[in-house]
Parts: sequence; C-alpha cells; structure tokens
Amino acid sequence: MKLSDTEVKQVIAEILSTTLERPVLENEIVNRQQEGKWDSLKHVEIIFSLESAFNIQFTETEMSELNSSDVILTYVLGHLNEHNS
Amino acid sequence: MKNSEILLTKMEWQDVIFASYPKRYDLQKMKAEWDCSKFVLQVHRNQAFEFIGNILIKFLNYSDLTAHIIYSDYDDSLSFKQLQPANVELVWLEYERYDKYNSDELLQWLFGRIQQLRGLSSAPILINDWAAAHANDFNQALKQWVQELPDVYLCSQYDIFQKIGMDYFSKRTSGITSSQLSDLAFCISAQRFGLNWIPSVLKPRLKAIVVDMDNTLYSGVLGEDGVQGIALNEGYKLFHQALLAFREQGIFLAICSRNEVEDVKKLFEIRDDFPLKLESFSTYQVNWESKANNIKKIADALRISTNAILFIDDNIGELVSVIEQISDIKCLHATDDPYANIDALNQYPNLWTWDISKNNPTDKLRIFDLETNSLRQHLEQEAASVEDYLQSLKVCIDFFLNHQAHSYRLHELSIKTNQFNTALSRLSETEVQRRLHENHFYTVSLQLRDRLSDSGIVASIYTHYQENTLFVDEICISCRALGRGLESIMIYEGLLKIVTYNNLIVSDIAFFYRAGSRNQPAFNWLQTTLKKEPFSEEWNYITLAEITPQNTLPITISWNIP
Repeated sequence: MKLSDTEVKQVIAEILSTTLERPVLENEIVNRQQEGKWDSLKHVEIIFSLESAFNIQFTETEMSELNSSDVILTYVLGHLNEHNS
Repeated sequence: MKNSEILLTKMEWQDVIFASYPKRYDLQKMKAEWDCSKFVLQVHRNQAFEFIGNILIKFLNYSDLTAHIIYSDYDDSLSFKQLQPANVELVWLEYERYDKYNSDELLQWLFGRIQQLRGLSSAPILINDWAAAHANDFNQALKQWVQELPDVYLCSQYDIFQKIGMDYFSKRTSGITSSQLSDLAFCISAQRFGLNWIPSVLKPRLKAIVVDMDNTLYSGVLGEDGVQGIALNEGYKLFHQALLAFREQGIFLAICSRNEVEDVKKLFEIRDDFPLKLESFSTYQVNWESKANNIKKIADALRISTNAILFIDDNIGELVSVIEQISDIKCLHATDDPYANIDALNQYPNLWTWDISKNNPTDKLRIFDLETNSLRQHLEQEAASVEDYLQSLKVCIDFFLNHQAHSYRLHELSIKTNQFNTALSRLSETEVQRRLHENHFYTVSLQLRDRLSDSGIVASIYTHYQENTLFVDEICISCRALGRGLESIMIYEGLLKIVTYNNLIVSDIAFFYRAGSRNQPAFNWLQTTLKKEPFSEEWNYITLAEITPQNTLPITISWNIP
C-alpha cells in the first residue's frame, strides 16, 4: 500500500518523538546539531526505526547524511518511490 | 491501571511481542503503563548491547519486569573492574575479536573469567555463545561447561544465527553500531532475553496450562457443530503437539470449558485425529459455571497456586472476567491463527525453560505423581491405621547430606515452595552451592518414593552450626509431599542425623520463621513442634531432647552421605 507524503511525515515525526523523547510535530524541521539527545546511539536507533517502519535500507553514505528531518523525508520518499516504480 | 486493562493492552501487543521476526518500529510504539518489578542487569561486554537494550524493555514489560541496565566499558579482557551490585550479570562477547587465541585457549580463558565473576557476584550469569558456522565445537564445549556451573546459563546466539542465516550479520551497519549484528538479530535477541532468558532466572516456572476448547483447541463450537463438525487443521494439530511437549516437561495440562461434559468425552473418544487425548489432561472442569471458579478448582486439584497457571481462551470476555477475579493468573488470547498461538506458547515468559537436563528430572515426575494421589487417598481410606497405610504404600525416604548434584533442585524448592516453607529466604543456586561447600553448613535433600510413584526430591533442610546450637535456616517441603503425615519424620530424622554424623555437640535447635501470606502449613508444624506459636523474623528455640526420633513408622529410610 502506497503511503501519502503526509503519512510518511507522520511516521517520521513519531519515530523522532519516541527516540528524542520529546514531541516532534509533523512539519517541524529537526536538526541533529540542535538536539542534545541526538547522539550516535540515537542516530542508529532512528535509522533502524525508519528502515523497519518503511521496509527500506539506507546506504552507508545515506546513513551518515540523515542528520535532519527534511533530509530524512527526502531519502525515505526516494526509497519508497524506487519500491513503487 | 486495572488488571483487565493490563490484560487488554497485552493482548494488543501479542502479535508484535511473539512475532517470528519482531520489528523495532512496532516495538517502539508500545508503552507499558502498569507497575513492573525493577531489577538491575549488568552487561560485561566487548560489543554494543544498547540496540538490544532499548527494545529489550518492551519484552520485559510484557513479563511485568523492567530493567536498569548498567553497561561496562568495551573490555576484551573482562576485568570486571566496574562491577556493581546487580540482579543479573550478562557477559556479552563478540568472539571474533579473540583471533589470537585458538578455540581451546579461548575456552580456558573464558572459564577463568566466568569463575572470577562467579566469585564476585551471586547473581545469575548469562553468557552468549558464538554465532558462526565454524563455532559449533566451541559452542558445544561451552554448553557442557555451563551446565556444570551453578546459576550460569548459555544464551544461544548460534540458534538465532541458524534461524535467520546470514541476515544475522550486517556489514552495512557495523560501522555505526560497533557490532556485526543486524537490526533483525538485535530484535530477535531482545525478544529471547526479554521473554525467555531473563524471566527464567528471575521468576519460577509456571506449572500448568489451562485451555478453553471451542476455537482454542480446534476451529468451531462443539455444542453447535458437533463432534464431526469441528475442524482440526494442521495448525491446530501442531498446537496440540506443542501442548503435549510441555506435558512431557512436567507442565500440567487442564481443560476449562463451557460445554457438556458428555460431548467432550465423546469428542476425545471419536476424534482419533486429535493428538491431545482426554488422558493428556491432569484434570478438567467442563460445565456452565464461571471460569474463574473452575480455574480455582483446577488449581486445588493440581495443588498449585493460581499464579503458576497460564490460561488460554479465544473469548476476550472470559479472559477479562477471569483476570478480574484471579488477579495473579497469566492469560493468553487464543487468536484464530493457531501458528501464532504456537509461537506465543513456546515463547511465553516462565513457560519456556533452559535445557531441562541442566535442571532436574523432578518436573517430569510431577504429573505421574499427582495422578497416583487418588490411589493413595483410596488406600488411606481403606487402611485401619496410619501404620497400615504407610505399610501398604511401602514408603521410602532417601536422605542426602550436602549433595552437590541437587543444587538446582534445592534452589528451585526454596523459590517455588510457598506453603511448607519456614523462612521464605528464596535462595539462589549460588547461595545453595555456597552452603553445600562451606564448613558448619549442613543441607539435607530428601527424595520420596512409594510403590505408586517416585516423587523425586521433594524437601530440603538448611542448617548451620554455631556454639552448641543447630540453626535451622529453612525447611521446604513441596506440596506434592504434604498430606502423607511424613513431615515430622522427614525433619526430625534429617536434623538428628546432621547432629550425630558430624559429631556436633548440640543442646538447642533454633528454627528461623518468617510469616508469609501462604505458609500456614509451616506455621502449624512449627507450632506443634515448639508447643507455642513461632515468632516471625526470629529464631525459635527448643532443646535437642525435644526432638523425638520417629522411625518406629513402617518406612524405609536410607542415607547418602559423601
């Protein structure tokens, strides 16, 4: 089943909220540099959760670049579009 | 949170918790809002455990547990320099890092380190094996060695590796996780730790599975579809076989069903495609009364507490009604997918156990022993006196003094016995081992046999000696051995032999007593022996002369002294 962009944003916000232990809004831009709790362990947790939620796999390069919610959205949508095409 | 709300939440979690391939995203969404028992898990490691640790909590919550996890630094040498008090010690190693050792050298080194940890901590120790195709010999040697050590358990990563093959590893993420494991391997490991390995070292094993029938043991309603109308597909047959496997391990099976008893008897008689037979069940309650009352009757018949029962039913209303009336029972919702029910059953906390051969054969004897009880009751009614009754049974009691091989069973008696337990001290296997080794500590284990059955090790007496007094730290007698009038002979014979065999100069015997919610039988026995009510949390003294030898009864007694 194809997810809408809004649904994808909702899931990303949900994952960031759980991992960073604070409410993250659907359209909020969250940056790793500005989040005290977004350390290397949380970074891995976010990656694993995204892969598990969307059934996708990031490349090693992508994993190092997933440092904000908008980059995450771009990469997730890219992978989902690959799946659907 | 009400018990019924907790039950409903756990039912919603069932699919995720017991999934063959649990998913991190699904797990992260779950939040337990009920009280869980907190314990400290200390991880000694040379690789990351955090990605297991952060979802392990969800599985533990399902088991009503929660953990504070203490992580050591990454330490290939296992120095235990940062050791803190903990309830469970976990040694979590990536063995590939020890490439300068051959397999034998690595084992020898590891034995030394675990023995060092054993000396520093009395908590159960969990250790992982090696998830690699070439490590089979190493794992077998490790498994054998672990079986010989008290309170040390092998958490098989090799089994997970066999289940998921090369998906166990992830080169892609190893750079960011400091571990070779994939997220799938982390999730399955968390599931095993949280549902099986950790609960089994913190809580006693369940003793019975009580099942509903309609839409639980088969698809359909017996009263409506009839004996030939109900469907037993391959999944339900496998579910039956899973239940039978638990019976083989000594777990009682019982039926609690709203049906006509004649229909049920006919069903088991006619449907020979049913792997389960009516005789597979130690007892059953088939009627139209409340299921909670019926389960209480089942617990009485099996001589167990309701907190040792897992109740399985497809009807949510029935499950809610039962948990509202029996708050300590465990409940599992039987879904319409028997395969999912098998997964849930096989992984259910405290139903799963370590390799049963490590532990003791007594669990396996439990079912046959109970089945012979009705014969014993018949003999008792027929006999003219207690002596005649014991004579007809040909009762034998085998006493063992400081018997190392019984350490696990002794520990099990201490943690599981609630009724005849004088001190409720809940000794760990390590504490039992210490008592078996140290000077001035004398521990007796008792095996009970008669012509109907061998009950195995059913009682224990823990004592220590100091300044003319024999201190009886704890006496445990399994409820399977109660009701035969043998309590005094078991205890007196045990105490007197400790004194005479060890040439102890004893003037007084002191019994420690701790009042609990259910140890009235121990209180009653102490009251009779002391000729007054025992004081709780205190030593209660009598003189040695007041202990009367009772071997005038027609019982065969044997002693096994190292």
